[in-house]
Amino acid sequence: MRGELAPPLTPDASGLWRRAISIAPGSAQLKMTVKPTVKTPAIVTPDALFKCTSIQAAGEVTLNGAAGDNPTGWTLGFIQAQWIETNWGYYRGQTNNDGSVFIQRGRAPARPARGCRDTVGPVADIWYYKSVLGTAAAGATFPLKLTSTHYDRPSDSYPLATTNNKTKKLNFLSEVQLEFHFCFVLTLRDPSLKFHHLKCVYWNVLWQAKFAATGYAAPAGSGWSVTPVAGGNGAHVGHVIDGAPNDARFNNVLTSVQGANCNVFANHETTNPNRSESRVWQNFDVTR
Amino acid sequence: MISPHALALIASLVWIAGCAAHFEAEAAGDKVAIGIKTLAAPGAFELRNEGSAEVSLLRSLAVEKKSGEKWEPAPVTLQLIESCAEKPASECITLAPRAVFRPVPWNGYSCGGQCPEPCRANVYLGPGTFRVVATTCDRKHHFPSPAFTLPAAPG
Repeated sequence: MRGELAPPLTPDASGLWRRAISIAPGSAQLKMTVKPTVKTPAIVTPDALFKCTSIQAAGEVTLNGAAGDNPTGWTLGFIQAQWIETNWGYYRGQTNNDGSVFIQRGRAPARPARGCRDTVGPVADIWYYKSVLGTAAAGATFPLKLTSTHYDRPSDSYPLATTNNKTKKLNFLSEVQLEFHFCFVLTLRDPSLKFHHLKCVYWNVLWQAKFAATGYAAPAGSGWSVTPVAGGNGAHVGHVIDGAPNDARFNNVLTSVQGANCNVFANHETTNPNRSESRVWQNFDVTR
Repeated sequence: MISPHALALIASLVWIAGCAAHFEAEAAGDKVAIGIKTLAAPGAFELRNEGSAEVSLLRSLAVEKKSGEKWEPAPVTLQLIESCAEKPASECITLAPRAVFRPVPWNGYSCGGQCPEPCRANVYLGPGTFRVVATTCDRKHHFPSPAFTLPAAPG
C-alpha cells in the first residue's frame, strides 16, 4: 500500500480499536464481462428510439485481517459519473416555408454544464446500484473476498415531429446526434465511510443519424428512412485504469452531495430543451 | 333474454375463473376492491374494479421485489397508461365498477420500463419474484398483485 493512506482504525474482537483490516495488495480486479453495441435508431411511432445493448462488468477485492476482526461496514460497489453529453435534434418542414426547429438538450439551461453522478436510485445513494453491493458480515473469515457487478443500458428518444410555432406547420425529424460519456469506478467503502477507489473505466455510446419521411400527415409522418452518419455511431470501452480517476471533469461528483442524478438531468433536458425555431430551413449551430 | 346484470356477473366469473391461480385481491374495507391479474408475459397484468362503486387509483404503481420472506421496493415506478401515446394530465384514474384496465406491460428495466424514456442509469431488475402494488388516490388502500417472476435476461 506504498503511497496510499493507511487503512482505517476498526474494532477487533476485544473491542480494541486498531488498524486491523486492510486491502490485500493487488487483489482488486475489474473485468469487463459484456461490452455494449449501439443499435441503429428505430422508428416506433411517434418516436425515434436510440438504444444499445448493455455494458456489464464484475469487480472484486480481498480484505486481510486477523482472526476475530470484524469486517462489518466494508462495502464494495460501483460509482458512475457522466461527464459529457451531446444531445440535439433538427427538424424541418415539408417545404422551405414550413420552417425548421432545433432542439438542444445538451446545453444550459436545459442541461447543467457539469458532470453528474449516475445512480439507479436516489443520487444520495452514491452507489450506482445498491442492490449489487458486496458486503462483509460479522464473523466472516479472512482473507475475505468481496464482489460486485455493474450494468448499464442508456437510451434516449426523439419525437418524429414537432409543430413549428412560427409557421404553425409540422416539422419532421431530420437529424439527431447523441453522445453519452461515462466513467465507472470500482470502489471500496470502509467502516468510516471513506471510499477507496480501486479501478475505473471510461466508456461511451454515440449515435448520429439522418431521418427522412415520405409521408407528411400528422401526427408523426410516415414512410421513415434512417441513415446513420458515418463515424457517428458506436460504443467504446477504455482499458481498466488502476486507482482513482484523476479527472477534473467529474471527480467532484463521485461521492459529494449532489442534488440530482443523471436520469433527473436527462428528464429535465428532455422536457425543457432549448428550442430554436425558424420560418425557413435554417442551419443551426449545433454547438450552442 | 339475459339481463345486463347477469351478463356482468358472468363476465366477472369468466375473468376470475380464467386466472384463478393468479388472481389475488386485497379488499381493504368498505366497498373498495381491486383485483390484479398477471398475464402470460412477465410484467404484463391487468386491473379490475371488483367493487360496486367507482374507484380512483394513483397512476403510479409501485413495484416490489421479494427478498427472503419480505417484499422490498424496487427502483422503478410504473404508470397506469394504456399506450405510450397517453400524456396523463392527472395523478389518478377512475375505474368504473367491473371495469378492466390493462396497462402497458413492464419490461423489467428500472428506466424506460414501459415507454421510451431518457435513461442514463438503467438496470435490468431480473431475475426474481416481483409484484406491483396499486394504491387508491386517497392513499388509504393498497392492492398487491400476485407474484410473478422475471427471467434472468430480458425478453
